[in-house]
Amino acid sequence: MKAEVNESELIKSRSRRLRGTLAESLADELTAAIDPADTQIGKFHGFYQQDDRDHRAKRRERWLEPEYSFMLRARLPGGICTPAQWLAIDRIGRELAQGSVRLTTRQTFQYHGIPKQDLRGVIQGMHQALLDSIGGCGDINRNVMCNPNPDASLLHGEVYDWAQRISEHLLPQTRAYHELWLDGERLDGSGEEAEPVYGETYLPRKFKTAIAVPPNNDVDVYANDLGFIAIADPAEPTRLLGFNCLAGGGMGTTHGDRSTFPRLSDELGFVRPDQVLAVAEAVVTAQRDFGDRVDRTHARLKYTIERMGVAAFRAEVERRAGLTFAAARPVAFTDHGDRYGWVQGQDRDLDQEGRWHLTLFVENGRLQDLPGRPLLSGLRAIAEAHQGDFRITPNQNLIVAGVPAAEKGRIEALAREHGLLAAGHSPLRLGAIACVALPTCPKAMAESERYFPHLLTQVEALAARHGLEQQGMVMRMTGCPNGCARPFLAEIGLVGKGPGTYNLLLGGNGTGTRLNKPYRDNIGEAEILDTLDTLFSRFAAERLPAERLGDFVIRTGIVSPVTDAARDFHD
Amino acid sequence: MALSQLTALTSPLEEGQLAALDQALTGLSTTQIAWVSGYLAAHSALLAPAANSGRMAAPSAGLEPATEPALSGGLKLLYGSQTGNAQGLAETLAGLARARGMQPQLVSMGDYRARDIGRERLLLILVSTHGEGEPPESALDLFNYLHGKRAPRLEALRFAVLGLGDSSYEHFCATAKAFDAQLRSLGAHPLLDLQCCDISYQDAAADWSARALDLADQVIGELAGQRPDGAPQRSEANVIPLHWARSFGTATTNAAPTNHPLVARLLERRPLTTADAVSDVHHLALGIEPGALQFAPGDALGVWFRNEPTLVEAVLSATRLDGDAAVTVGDTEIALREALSERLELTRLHPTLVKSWSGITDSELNGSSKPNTDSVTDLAALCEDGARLRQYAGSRQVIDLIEDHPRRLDATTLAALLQPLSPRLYSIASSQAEIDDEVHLTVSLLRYLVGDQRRLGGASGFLAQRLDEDAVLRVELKPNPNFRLPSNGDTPIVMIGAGTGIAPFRAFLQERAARGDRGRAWLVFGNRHQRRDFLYQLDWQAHRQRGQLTRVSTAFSRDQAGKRYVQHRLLEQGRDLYGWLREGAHLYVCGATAMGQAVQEALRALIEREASCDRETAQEHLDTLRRDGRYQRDLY
Repeated sequence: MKAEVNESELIKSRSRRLRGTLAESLADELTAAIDPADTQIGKFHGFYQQDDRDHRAKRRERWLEPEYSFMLRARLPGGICTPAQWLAIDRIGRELAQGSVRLTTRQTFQYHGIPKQDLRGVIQGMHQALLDSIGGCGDINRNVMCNPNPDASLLHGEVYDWAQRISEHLLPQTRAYHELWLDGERLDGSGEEAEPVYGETYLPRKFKTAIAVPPNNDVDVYANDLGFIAIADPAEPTRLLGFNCLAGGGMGTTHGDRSTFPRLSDELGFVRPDQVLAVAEAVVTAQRDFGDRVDRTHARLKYTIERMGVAAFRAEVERRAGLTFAAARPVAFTDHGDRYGWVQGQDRDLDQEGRWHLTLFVENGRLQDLPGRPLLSGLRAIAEAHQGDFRITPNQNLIVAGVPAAEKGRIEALAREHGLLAAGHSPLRLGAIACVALPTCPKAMAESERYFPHLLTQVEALAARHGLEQQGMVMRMTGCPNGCARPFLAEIGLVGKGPGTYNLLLGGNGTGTRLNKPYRDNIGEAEILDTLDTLFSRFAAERLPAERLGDFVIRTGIVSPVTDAARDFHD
Repeated sequence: MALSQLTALTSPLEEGQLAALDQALTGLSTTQIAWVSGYLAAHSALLAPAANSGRMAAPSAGLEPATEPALSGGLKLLYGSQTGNAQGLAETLAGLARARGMQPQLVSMGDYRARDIGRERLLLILVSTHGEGEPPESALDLFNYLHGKRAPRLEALRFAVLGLGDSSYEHFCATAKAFDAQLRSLGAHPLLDLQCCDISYQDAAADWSARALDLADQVIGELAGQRPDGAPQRSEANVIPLHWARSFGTATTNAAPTNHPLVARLLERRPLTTADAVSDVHHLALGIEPGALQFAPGDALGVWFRNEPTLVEAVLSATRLDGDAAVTVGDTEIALREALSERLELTRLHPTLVKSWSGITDSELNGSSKPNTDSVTDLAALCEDGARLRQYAGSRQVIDLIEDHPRRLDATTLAALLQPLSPRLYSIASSQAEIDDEVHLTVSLLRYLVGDQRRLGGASGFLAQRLDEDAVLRVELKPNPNFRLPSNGDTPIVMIGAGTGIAPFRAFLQERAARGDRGRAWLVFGNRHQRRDFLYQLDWQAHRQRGQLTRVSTAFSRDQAGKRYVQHRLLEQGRDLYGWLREGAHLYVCGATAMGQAVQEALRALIEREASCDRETAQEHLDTLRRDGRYQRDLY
């Protein structure tokens, strides 16, 4: 068989270990953009070129290029940073990124609207706070997620350590990032560094890794290319035995292409903690060598595994890692949302009193100073007072973690004063997430983050009309089918199809272990509300005790369950 | 007739000798006078050869070609013009001189070799002043030479200077004043006192011209007697042809627009800046008849505009005058409303108008009450304080004066007080090599507040807001021979522009693209925000794509904490820029005067640094570039 590799592969290959012509692109004063090939390379350094799509037409009329700027996403394994780091993150956001910081669905933060000439300042500012953006985007292992687990504090510490180690282990070896953004020094061998894990063309597509700690599946571990589920010793729940290893999950699809589908990962088996790095590397290199480099829409690991079969893939990983998987341990998840408010951890300080953790509500992860809700200022005030750490959750919220009992009142007062508490919001809103989409995301087909709160208000009213105002329902929205807000795991998923229209999917189970199913295509707000009205009406009347909406629609046959997405998602 | 006006002051003769000479010449024919003049010249040469050579600093007589006489005894008219007004006056003056039978040499200071000044005997200078007292580009060489160490003594020279300026500026006619003072200090003899003309200069200039020519005529007569070869110097007149004089010669601001009935039509207007930009800049495409209007990249277009109708009505209302009242403007009688709309200046308030206004008393109108006493006192005090007066006038329009200080006057008085409307100049932003039936302009809308009243620039408001698509407007060409692409298309060019100063460079690149030129081009552009006001950004990108634009440097002053301007970028890239200069690049600077000065300082500094020379040498290097036409500026 003869096939041409796709253009991205050529760009990576020619890039001299992720340098490309970025230096020249940055120096080009005629445009706020970078060279098209460099936009591919820039992703590995953590940034996407975007433009304000609201202004495109008007600018073209004025003979101005699109309003280019950059989104930069940090690498922050497990979402943890110190208060000092938060102050740096905050300062950069205020000074160089239009006064805003976004918490992402993968437990990191990102900036929008960075002008080209400020990229270096942003990266250097982060570096000074010991933060980086390597692999923030790009065909490489992305930010490693880890359940922030405020109550199971003892287990969390150990699991989080593995998240960090996986992240470090899967970093590229090129010095391009340092050369371009930090010291500028070009050492011998620049452009020819050995990349033992990735090789010169890196991965065929993005690669996502997450670690879950049952019973919480907030990381949506099955939606990742590589997943680990922490297994505690049943006899001693704070002792980590090892992990169930998963591979081949992923959300992204392409509208109208039935050969693409969201997929839950398969269990490869159980491994001990000391085998984690070897397994992670083996999964990555297997995908490196077997992944599709011709068609990017089929390049994720989930398609590789569909093609190879799970057994063959498992065997390949075992061979590469030099181990044999043990049988996966039984696990059970209860939810994939956040626990708002105060939770006491199991770790004890000197007074033998558990530390406290406060989960704040940050709608769609968007932090800025709004009239009456100065969110950024509030977090700054908390960071100045706080001695523990901050944890960004997979649901775009923030945990003020490790607060001594004596400090609780002060922290809570600051949070309340700045509009950061969850109290007063409906369970629906507190369980909802949305991606950024318009106007900046180049992939967006419809609104998401800036429209979703408005839609939620109407759905809240609907739910109230049917007596469901206290019902938790996982509702997620994205502006395109790439799935950043993991909409295919929601009980009610809305995936942007065109301006003002969405595909409506139903049937997630509220724990992130079942995909939903397309229910209506390409419908606008009126039809969405109409459909939900009918659905809520039936649900309110016919539900079993404690039955969730996602289970109800399956039981009553409103949609059929997705059990093998490659074959039944589109049926 | 000339002799009767000679005096002992303007000639070396005593009164008695003059009378005798007058008597001797009475009744002689032109031929007889010519013979006598030759006789006397020869006589003079025989009697006192040493006296002549002793007086002159340029002793190279005999080695010069016939067109460069050792003593250029004829009438030389030197003009230093920026917008063309001084040139227009000089051409008129030359015409008047020719009508008197004189054969003046009319030369732009830019084409004049400064060291030849030592050979001149009779010189009339017409020179304008710009911005902060700056000479026009073309006058710089001569100006610097006269003020430099090598300036010769000029005892043999008789001269008169006419200056053009705008008394609303602090350095009113500073260039003319400096020329006049420096010529005097070098020993030259003034024929007349310095004449400084304000923006309404026609009457004063006509008066000065007549007096200057009368006196010049006398001097020519005297000089004829001193010529060693006895030949009338008129035969050696060396009129330097001006290839574009035809279209411009008689243009004056008093002329009604119909004197230059070039008509253009607005084809398209598009904004170039975003809604949140500091400035509001528009691109205009005007349709023209290519046969009637031919221009070169670098030229400007004068635009005749109509004042805003609401402004006209406001003036009528504030003066309580009838818009249908007939008034005379120029030679025509028209309704006051029409005059205010199309013939009189309403958007530029000149200090002279404030002064005239201050002088109005109600006695000019029967039966009306006196104006408010406070207003009279305030205005009088204002007129006494030059700086305050300029500040007042510079930040207001005519309507503000009228409303601040209401006076009763009749329509005729009002029309006479107001300045005639003058066309506004815009550098042309297109090339006829690319599109021959269009002229493109880059217009920044002038907006400001007076109190809480919104005021618009006259022409920019007309062009950017009021003119409808497909409507016609009157225009005239203002050629700028001092802002021209190098004739060799392989010559590298560096184009430095800020704000709408970028306009002529669009024409340059269009021209070069159309000609298939392959010379490198470097654009240095400054404005406020890259995102909001990078004028013609897509054009420059297309030019670069096609290889027409080699390099781009930008300075957006408000995109970072500290302000950065084009001069900073030039200094940062001094080594490269100097390299381009060494490779023969031509430098062009277009934009506001202050920017031009800052750029000049940066250029001097970078030459000093890169050539490791001292300040004077660097300045000479720049002067040489300017003389060679490799450093051209269009500042406003």
